[in-house]
Amino acid sequence: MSLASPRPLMIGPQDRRLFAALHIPPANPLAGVLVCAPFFHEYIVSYRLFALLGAALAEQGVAVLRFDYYGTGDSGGVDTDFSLAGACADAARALKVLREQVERLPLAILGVRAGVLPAIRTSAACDPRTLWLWQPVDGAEYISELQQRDTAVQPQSTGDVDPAETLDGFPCNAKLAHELREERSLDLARGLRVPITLLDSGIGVPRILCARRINLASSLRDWVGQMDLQRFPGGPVRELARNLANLPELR
Amino acid sequence: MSVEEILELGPQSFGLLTRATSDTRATAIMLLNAGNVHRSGPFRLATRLARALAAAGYPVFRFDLPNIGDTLPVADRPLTQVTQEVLDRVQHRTGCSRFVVGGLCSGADRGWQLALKDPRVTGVVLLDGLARGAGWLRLARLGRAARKPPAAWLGTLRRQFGRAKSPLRITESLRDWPAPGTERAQIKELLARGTKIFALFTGGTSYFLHPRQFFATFGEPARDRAVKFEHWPESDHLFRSESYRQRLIVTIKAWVESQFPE
Repeated sequence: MSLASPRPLMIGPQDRRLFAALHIPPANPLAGVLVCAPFFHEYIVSYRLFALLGAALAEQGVAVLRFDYYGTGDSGGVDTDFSLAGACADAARALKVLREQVERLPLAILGVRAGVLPAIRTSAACDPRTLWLWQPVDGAEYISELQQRDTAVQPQSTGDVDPAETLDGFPCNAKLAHELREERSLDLARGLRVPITLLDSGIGVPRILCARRINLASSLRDWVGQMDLQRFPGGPVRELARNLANLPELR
Repeated sequence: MSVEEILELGPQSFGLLTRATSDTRATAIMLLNAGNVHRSGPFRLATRLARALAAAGYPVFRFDLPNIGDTLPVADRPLTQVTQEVLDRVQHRTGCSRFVVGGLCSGADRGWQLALKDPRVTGVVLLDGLARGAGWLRLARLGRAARKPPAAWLGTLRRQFGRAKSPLRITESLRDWPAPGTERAQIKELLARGTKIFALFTGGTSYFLHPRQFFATFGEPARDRAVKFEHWPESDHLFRSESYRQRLIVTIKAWVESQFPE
């Protein structure tokens, strides 16, 4: 049976409208998950994966809210409006919307790649039941990866735009690279009271305190750093959704 | 400020309509998925293009075809039928009965098919769309090889004249293109109906390296006044470069405004 598509929403005030996609379980939800998406091109290449995962979690009784940060995707704003502080504020706003859907039920925040940065900061402020970190990166490491990728695939330019004002091919405000480089959210994660689950390959995993680790199938982790989109097989997505939905913090 | 609204297309699909922010014109635009990239497009190109066109008075609709982005189920009917039904929905919401459709890569292919099928389509935007012209492609590849050190020439000649499949054959097998030779009759049909065509090719594909390929593909109709052809050999296929992305948005907006002033 195919997975169900999400319900689209526009959330937030008129001057900071965010696009969001809500995956609603067929029966009363048991829990809720907020997804903090990765940034830049990783957002594009993983979009389908997290649409599938959201639907698969909904199948397991978990309501899932995905959203685009201001200045990204289908949300309002121009690319240079995207900032780390703004992403954290957007995550807090989206969490409020999800909270209205699931009321007193357990909530998890899932941060993906650099999306762990707003996920951790939002967890510190909003105290969800649990935090899931998917192939997390720290700021400095992430900026270095992006710059390497920019150097490797730097296309010709018409000369109208200074390449220094772009990150991973996206225009960005001058402060963003600095803001990301200085971010030490993984240090902050160590101070959180919420149990953390790490979703990763188990190779090169940052040393953060985790309640548990779930090893991701290669089909769910190999999109990182890729330029081209890949198809995500339904089987591993559904299996992961089952594992996540059955974690004790959500019960 | 652009105003986007959600337009439901049924229980399993939706799209975003970017409302015109100046006096609304009578032509709406529909942007189709670039390959498997969801509706905001590679490097947010579709979102930005939609807002630029909306600022010029054109309502713009973006959505995910079956099995792409947020539309999770696979197609249960032909994609041309799906896109025609979306046109119905957008027409109902905006009141526009004329459309410019298209996109990048497979978005161009589907735009072309929709234009042939639906007379409401009065303009097509083809970014890295259909092209053949194997002879010109070979010439361009040999020209490239000649700029390499002599040690690399032999390998290039082997690939050109050996048994390996050419990039054009590989692309034809992956893309949803009409049977070779039929595109000339198709372009004539579209031009006879008054359809305007914007075709732009980047240097980011393996199958289009020489501008003459476009004219070899479509023949004399490609030189019609209703056809605008551009070749940007230094741009990559996904418009990763912000400068080319900006240039593309400006170029398409200028073309739409010149061809569809009403």
